[in-house]
Amino acid sequence: MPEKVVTVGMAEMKVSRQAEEKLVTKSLGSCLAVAIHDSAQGVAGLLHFVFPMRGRDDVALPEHPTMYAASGLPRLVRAMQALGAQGGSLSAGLAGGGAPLTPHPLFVVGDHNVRVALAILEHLQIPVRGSDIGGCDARSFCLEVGSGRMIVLRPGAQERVL
Amino acid sequence: MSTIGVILDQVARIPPMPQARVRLLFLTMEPDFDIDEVVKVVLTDPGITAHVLRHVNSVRRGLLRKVATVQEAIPHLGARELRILILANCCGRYFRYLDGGYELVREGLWHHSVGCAFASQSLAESTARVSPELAFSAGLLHDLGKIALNEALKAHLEQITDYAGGQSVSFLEAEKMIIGFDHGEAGGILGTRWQLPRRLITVMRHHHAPSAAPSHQELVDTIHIADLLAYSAGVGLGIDGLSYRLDEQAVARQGISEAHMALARLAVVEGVRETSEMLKAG
Repeated sequence: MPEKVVTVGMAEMKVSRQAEEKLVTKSLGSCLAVAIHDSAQGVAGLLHFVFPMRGRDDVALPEHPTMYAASGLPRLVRAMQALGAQGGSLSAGLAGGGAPLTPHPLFVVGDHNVRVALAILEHLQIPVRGSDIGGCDARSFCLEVGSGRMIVLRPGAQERVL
Repeated sequence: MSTIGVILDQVARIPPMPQARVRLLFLTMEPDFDIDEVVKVVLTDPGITAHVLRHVNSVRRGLLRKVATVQEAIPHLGARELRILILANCCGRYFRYLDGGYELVREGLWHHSVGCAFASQSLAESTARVSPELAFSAGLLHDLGKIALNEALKAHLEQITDYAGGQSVSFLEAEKMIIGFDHGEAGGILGTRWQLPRRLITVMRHHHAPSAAPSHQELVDTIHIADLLAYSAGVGLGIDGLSYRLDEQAVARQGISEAHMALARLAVVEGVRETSEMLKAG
């Protein structure tokens, strides 16, 4: 069966139960991509979010649910459930959450993204099967809908399956 | 040939920016530029004229009557959009044919430059220490040195990525160590040769080490932080990833806060999306 690549842009999510599809997101810096797969129902979802949450008093961030982990992850799970996904057979993988070389409080959004995503996944009782997070590399992340394989790509490195 | 010879040779191979476009760079980086003066120069440049007319007559805009001249187009565009169209034409072409090297995806470096331009503009609006228009132009051009260094990078790619692969050496330091030159230095040479505005040359030369800038401190600081922010936002990330150092003094000098950063990050995401058609490499 020829495979079909479905690109997930920044602040977007895609869900699928078409076994030949691959959900792919590229150019992950401090943003985080969360892939979720239902091994029993063959349903997959991928979210590429920018911020952990919208709630800041001093900055008017837009209403754009898939831009944030706090609103995007529950939305991703609901969209997967609408395609038949069920709680017991879900697992997640994470990629991204990087930062520049010099640690600085102004560049901790990657860490926050990871922390909040893990807390939400725990709350949703979705186990994390693996992650490739932090550091300085640009990453791409791919979820094969049929097999559920979650693959992280970094320039000059071998692909890593979570 | 010595390393400097190789770089100079590479710079000489890049067709220089036409004088009319250098003039437009000078004019459009001023906050209240003289629109009549800009139109006069645009009319001497068939490429920009065609792009302006194509853009203003695009189906999306839905004008009832076709616009036939740049003068007619101005009321529909306004100064901000005209500036972006001009800058896309002046700069975009140089980023089009990198063919590997720094880029992981086609036109990735251009996308990063556009992201940096929006981040720079947003930080400048937040701090009110430098003109947002100037910051936008400088953000767009800051990495022009990578164009000059790309062939040398390709020749030493594995060594450089290996050297910068750990957590202790930045990509800039690896360029310097392996090639003998970094992309800031290459940018300084290119900008001088093309007779670009002095402020922009200073940004191209010092945007990774703003504390060493001999002048235009506020502008160089702003672009330095915006550059890292655009990498962090993941717009057009290249082979160098986020492998650069932050000059903490630049943050302190400009009084950048978390709120400024959140707004600038949003400006990158939304600015790139909203203007992607307009900013297609001219």
